[in-house]
Amino acid sequence: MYLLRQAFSGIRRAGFMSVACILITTFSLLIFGIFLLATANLREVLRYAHEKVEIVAFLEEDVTASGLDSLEAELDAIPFIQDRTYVSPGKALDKLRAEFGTRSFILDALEENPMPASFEITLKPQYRLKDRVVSVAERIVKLPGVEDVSYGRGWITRLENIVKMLALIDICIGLVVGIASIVTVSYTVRLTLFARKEHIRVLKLVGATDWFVMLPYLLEGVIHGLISALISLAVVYGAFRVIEVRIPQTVFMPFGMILFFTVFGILSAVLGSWVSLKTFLRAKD
Amino acid sequence: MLVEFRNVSKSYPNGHMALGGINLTIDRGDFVLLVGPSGAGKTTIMRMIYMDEYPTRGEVVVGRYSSNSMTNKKTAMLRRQVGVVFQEFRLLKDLTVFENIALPLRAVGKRQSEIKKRVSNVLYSVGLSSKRHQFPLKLSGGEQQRVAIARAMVLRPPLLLADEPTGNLDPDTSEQIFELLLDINRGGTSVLIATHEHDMAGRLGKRILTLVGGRLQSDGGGA
Repeated sequence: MYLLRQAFSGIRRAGFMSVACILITTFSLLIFGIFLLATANLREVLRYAHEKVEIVAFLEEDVTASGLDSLEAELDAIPFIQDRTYVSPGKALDKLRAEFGTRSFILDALEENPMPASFEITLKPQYRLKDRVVSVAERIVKLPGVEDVSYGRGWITRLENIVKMLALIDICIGLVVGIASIVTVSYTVRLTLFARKEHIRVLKLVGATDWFVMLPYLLEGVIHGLISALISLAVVYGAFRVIEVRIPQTVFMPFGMILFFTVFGILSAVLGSWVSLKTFLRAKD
Repeated sequence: MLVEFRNVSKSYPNGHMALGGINLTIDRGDFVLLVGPSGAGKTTIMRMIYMDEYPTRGEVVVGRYSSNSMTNKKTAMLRRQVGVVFQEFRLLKDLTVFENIALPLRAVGKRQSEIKKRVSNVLYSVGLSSKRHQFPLKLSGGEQQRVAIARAMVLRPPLLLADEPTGNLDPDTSEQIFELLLDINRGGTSVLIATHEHDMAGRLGKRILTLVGGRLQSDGGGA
């Protein structure tokens, strides 16, 4: 209780320095917050792209109604499949006509419908990965009544390469911004501690243990970090609302990311306090 | 034996020798004056006793603590047994007199009721009961030094170190501070005072250690 009281009175006593520390920490966290917001949206774009991953199974011309039923039963037995839609030859032609748009008259020259019947199959989200799609497609093509499958092998490979590259770039930027944030916060906290160097020194001289000296300052770091994280979250949210007006698909950070950001803010401030305190505790007059 | 220096030398990386071959002992109840010109090594001896400095050769033993085997934790425990008073008082200006004196008690985890009782008693003994809510900068130099002494004594340590305690005070006030330190000694606490006021030290008729150029020149006098 005494230590907590000390932490609050430390912030009050530091006055201007505390405000400056919170402002600089907030600014530094803000950059990290904007980065996280961008990451959240990047993930959303990738999720959307993955949604487009599907397998089309083209059926043989002479599939009977009972053959269709047993094929449906076989497809339903594959656990990775989320949904399957039967597309009749007539429906397939209509779709093609719609895709051709104003040039659909070309199709009028056809004497008979060349489109095969098919099943459009979507996999459960966690299985929309190249290897899984390939293995499911290979399984489907062996089913009786299935002539061929199409799943955009090139497109999935490209998508996965893009995902890998973006994830790597994202992690690199995250590391740089994160480390820069920790360093800025550390140095700011150090300035506030410098003003109280004598306090730390005197406590050591009267027989306080390192923990007794450090705890109020570490608690102060928690309070600084929390306030800064909350302010910067509010600002990032404000920025999100402004962007959302222009780009309605924009999403805000999910709860897990908000939690990570808050903990990151607190930990940077505590880490800054810790490093500075260790230096002061070792220092002599 | 409360304090023992066994052939202690201290030199710095730049080659400066602060202390050379010091042997001395301080017993329980002793009142010892450490005199010598500036730079003679008085402060280094003081700092070695509260383990803020370590010898480059030899060993310093204070109670059950040896300079050869100190840890952060042990240093904190040792400092609870050794009160220290400085020339520049080293009071925290943003804490009241009461809070300054309460610091060592808080550091050892005493309860608030115990803290109140002990701080009141020690304030009474240094004659500053009425100043408990004042801030240090509102006090005179002599009063500030009394507060510093009260802070050093509040844990009732067996040893009190005072490094030039009257260096910033006028002669009358200095005399009062010496009187207070003698009083503390009469209560059973060993007192070691570093001072360059050779005359004052001589008048007290106590044991005097004379330090010149980092070497102990004489150890004598006193009752």
